Amino acid sequence: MVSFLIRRVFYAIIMLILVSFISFLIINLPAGDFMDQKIAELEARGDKSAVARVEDYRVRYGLDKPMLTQYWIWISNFVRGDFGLSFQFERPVKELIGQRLTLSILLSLTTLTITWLIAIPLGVYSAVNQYSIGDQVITTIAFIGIGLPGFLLALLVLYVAIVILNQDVVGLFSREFQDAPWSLAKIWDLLKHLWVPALIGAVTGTAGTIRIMRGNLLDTLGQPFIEAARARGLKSRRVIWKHAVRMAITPLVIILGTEAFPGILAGNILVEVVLGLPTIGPLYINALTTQDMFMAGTVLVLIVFLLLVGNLITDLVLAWIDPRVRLE
Amino acid sequence: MTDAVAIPMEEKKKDAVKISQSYWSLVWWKFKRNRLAVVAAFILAGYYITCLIFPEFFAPYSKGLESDYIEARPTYPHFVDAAGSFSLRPFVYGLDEEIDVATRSRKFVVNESVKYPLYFFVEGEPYKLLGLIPAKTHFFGTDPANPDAKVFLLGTDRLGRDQFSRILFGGRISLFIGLFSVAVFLFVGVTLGAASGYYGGATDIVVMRITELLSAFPQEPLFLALGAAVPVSWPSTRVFFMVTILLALIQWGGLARQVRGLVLSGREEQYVLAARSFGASDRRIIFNHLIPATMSHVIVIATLKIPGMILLETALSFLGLGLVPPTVSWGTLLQNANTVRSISAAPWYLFVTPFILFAILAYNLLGDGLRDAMDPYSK
Amino acid sequence: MSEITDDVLVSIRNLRIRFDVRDGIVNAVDGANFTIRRGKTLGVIGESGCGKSMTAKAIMNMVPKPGVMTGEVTLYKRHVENGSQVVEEIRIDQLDKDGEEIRNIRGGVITMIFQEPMSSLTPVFTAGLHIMEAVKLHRFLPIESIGDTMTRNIQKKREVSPEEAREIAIDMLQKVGLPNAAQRVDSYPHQLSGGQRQRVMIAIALSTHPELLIADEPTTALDVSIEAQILDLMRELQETVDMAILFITHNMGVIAEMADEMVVMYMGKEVEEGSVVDIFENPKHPYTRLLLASIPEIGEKKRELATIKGMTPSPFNLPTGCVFHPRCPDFMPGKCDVVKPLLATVAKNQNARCLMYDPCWPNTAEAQAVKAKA
Ligand SMILES: Nc1ncnc2c1ncn2[C@@H]1O[C@H](COP(=O)(O)OP(=O)(O)OP(=O)(O)O)[C@@H](O)[C@H]1O
Ligand code: SF4
Ligand SMILES: [Mg+2]
Repeated sequence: MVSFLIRRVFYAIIMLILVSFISFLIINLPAGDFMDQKIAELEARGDKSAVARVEDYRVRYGLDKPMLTQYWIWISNFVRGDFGLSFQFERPVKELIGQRLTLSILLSLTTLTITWLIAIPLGVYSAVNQYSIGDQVITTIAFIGIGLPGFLLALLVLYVAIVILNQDVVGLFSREFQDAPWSLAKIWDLLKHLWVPALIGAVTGTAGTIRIMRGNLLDTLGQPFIEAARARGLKSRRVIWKHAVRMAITPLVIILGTEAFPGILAGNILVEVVLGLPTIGPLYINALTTQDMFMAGTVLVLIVFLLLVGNLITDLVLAWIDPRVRLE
Repeated sequence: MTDAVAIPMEEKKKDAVKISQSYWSLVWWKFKRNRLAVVAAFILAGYYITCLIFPEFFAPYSKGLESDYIEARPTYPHFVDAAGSFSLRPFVYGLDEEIDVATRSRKFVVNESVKYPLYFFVEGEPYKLLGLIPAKTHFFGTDPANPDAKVFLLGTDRLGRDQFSRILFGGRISLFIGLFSVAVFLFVGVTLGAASGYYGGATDIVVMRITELLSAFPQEPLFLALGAAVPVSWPSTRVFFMVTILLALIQWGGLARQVRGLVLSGREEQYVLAARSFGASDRRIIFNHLIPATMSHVIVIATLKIPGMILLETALSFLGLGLVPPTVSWGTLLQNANTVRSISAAPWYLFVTPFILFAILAYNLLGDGLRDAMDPYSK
Repeated sequence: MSEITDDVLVSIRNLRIRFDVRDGIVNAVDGANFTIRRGKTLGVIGESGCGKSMTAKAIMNMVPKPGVMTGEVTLYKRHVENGSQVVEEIRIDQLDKDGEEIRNIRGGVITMIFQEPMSSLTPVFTAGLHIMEAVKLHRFLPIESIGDTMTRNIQKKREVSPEEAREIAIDMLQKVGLPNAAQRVDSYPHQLSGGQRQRVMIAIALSTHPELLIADEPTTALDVSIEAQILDLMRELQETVDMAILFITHNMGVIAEMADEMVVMYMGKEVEEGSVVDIFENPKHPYTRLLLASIPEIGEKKRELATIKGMTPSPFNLPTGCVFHPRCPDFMPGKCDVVKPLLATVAKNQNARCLMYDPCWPNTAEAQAVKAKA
């Protein structure tokens, strides 16, 4: 168990080093673009002090040095918690991400809760009542839902809200609360906005989860131990939930670790962009378009980090809920 | 020794041919009975004919033709006019420009006193069919003799270009990206997977480590970052091919793993062992024996992958990180709708979404139908 | 052997189970009639697919989904009321499939050991939890109460507590000969061998003191030495707890070892029934004779029923007349392929379904004409 953990952590660290290096390379491919552009821009404006400041960044982050050195400077600062500077906003990346992290977490948790609250009961119903009308309706809707890309859905929701209902659904706050300090009224306003992106984000996940749940449960319900449990005189409900669902839920745990967990940072980037949410997704896209390298690189590496941690947690949880999974 | 083995081998081959024939005819039979999948196949055929092959013919205008109708609302075809009289020939109303004094904006309104009948197979802008045959006939349009007559089924954009025509032309790029990137995806995934499974050893280790590394990246954010890394200064065709290849390159890992698994289990099969004992080359064994055995699996994966590829391209271009105008794709067309202002002022920019959605749904249905048909254990 | 006497526990009358599937109708059980007696073992034998497991499931009203069951399954349940014994007749086939009444019978009055010991235990539950689950539902302990006999009879029992259930579990595991029961009680199924799992299944089935234990090929999946141990165990346990066993198998040798009475099934029908001694001494039906001939001699390796020529016919395309005729060594052309034999008494306490015996000829004009002609 312990040696398993050590090996997995070691593996994750190696992966993280490789991945962070590759991320750095990718983000840096159009090297220098941003800085040169920025300097040219500032020079044109004649802002001498700004030019000097930008030159200073260049030296501080070793942007005039070879790639490997740059990476080393960045990553050694990174592990100490200094993610570098956003050149676009001229503020630390950590601060900018920190501002939006709470909302990102809140959004992804809400999305996940909605997804599972809808998907698990529907999936179970569908499997238990296989071929019934309800099952057919659920599977059809789930089928269409899987193909529905969230961002197109978000665009259509925008259309309905703006053109037909004349409602404001953009962002997570109304204008008057945008910069207001936290208060009950602001939280209420947030909740009023939150459900739209959460629901949109939940569509694809719900559809997929229903399918997985239904498929697994059908497999499980066909197993001899289910019949054996019934033959012991257990109530149908107990057989389904305690014996069958307990077995069929395992793959959902895998999804939780490998998709939902890293999804905290970038669950549904496109939906967030379309709806203009103050979350991390749009920050990432903005950083990519403006070549804000430390910003983009940090988000990418953090997502990968969450993904690897998620995988690790998944393994542990799986071993806990399914005794057949041995950790070795 | 060779003789002794050769005879059963021949027979085995014949058997294999027979079995595979009956397998595919069974697949075909099962597929035909899945009505939704057949409908989906027809819808896709329709898409490919109108968008990929003959958009010049089906679109009333070329993708670049500008007009004075800036962001004009759609003119829908009618059979019954405002006075209530019916005509078998559909017509569209004319558009009048109007200046909204309050918002100081211009917009177009329908003028029901002007009717432009629609004709099929009309003469219009000249074009080259399939890029070769010069032609002038369009599937439908307004009277070529009347230069004022216009038909904008789905409205126009900021340069007065016909949305409907542009959606058809955009479909050409988007649908092609779907096919082409899946082709690259299949080629890379199947070859590397098969090589990995067949050779084992170092090849296997290297390939598998790469797929592990790939799977350590979150796909969407990685793809967005790669898309952003494609230099803005590149010519549009180069960007197009780059995006297509990137789509394939970030995704082949899963396929390679599956193919590797299938090959590993197939490697010890009798016919492969026999082929090897005849001294068939590795390449031959991989391409003639092992890969065909994975075909049905691969076809299903490919079909189900295409819609994902189309969507990723659309998303990337929508964000302005992929294809950029003047390239016309569903993604770049959707870019028009990326602000709240444009959605409220010209909601017809969103007409491209149903085109995308139907294509995706059709692909999913088709893929699902194929999977059911090819699974030997399904009903 | 069809009259209802005091010692009858379960009687099955005219049981039919059919499945409407795409290719046609399968009559998995096609008119079975037999009786299970208290404290006795009834062996059921027949080739794979002849409907043995379906019959067993019908007794628990657990015929799986597309299956439709008709006929009567009656349980004669004994219990003490106001100090005197009464026998309650329960029509199992008419109970709600998921109702309380049938649930009290399943796992309580009638328990079952399934064909697949490897996968009949829920993988995420320990051996002990399985037993405790059953015990909590079906076993009640007497209350040490003060008071007159009236109240004692009304509330004479209470549910077991979790601690008691665990004790019972360990005790049962010990009884079925699982070594180290106190630790094994917390083992998960994957940590047990096939034989150990089957012992756990038996422990579950016996933990609630059932009146009938249905053992559906309890040893088919196990190797021969373990098979012998399990069979010994079941016999021993039956002696200590007065319980009837319905023993399903494809192995004549096992029937000889275990059963008092036996039923031979072929394609959903009984073809012969009677006491094991009678049938082994004097088999009437050609199929039974073939089965007996296939019993391995001492020292010979275990052989299964595969030695009978030909294969069981397709359920969609049953042979005319006697369904056994294509494989029957005594086939009488013109008769066996025309007339369907009845199940009738052909010797004392011995029924068979074969046209070699007069009573089996149906009393219809057509049948009699065929009989006369030949
Ligand atoms: N779900 C089903 N659909 C259709 N037919 C079924 C179904 N379940 C069982 N049957 C049919 O019922 C018949 C009897 O099955 P049963 O399980 O009782 O056989 P068995 O005698 O127990 O055989 P075995 O010795 O292999 O366990 C089989 O021929 C089978 O084809
Ligand atoms: S009726 Fe005829 S075919 Fe059937 S068992 Fe008897 S002798 Fe054989
Ligand atoms: Mg059986």
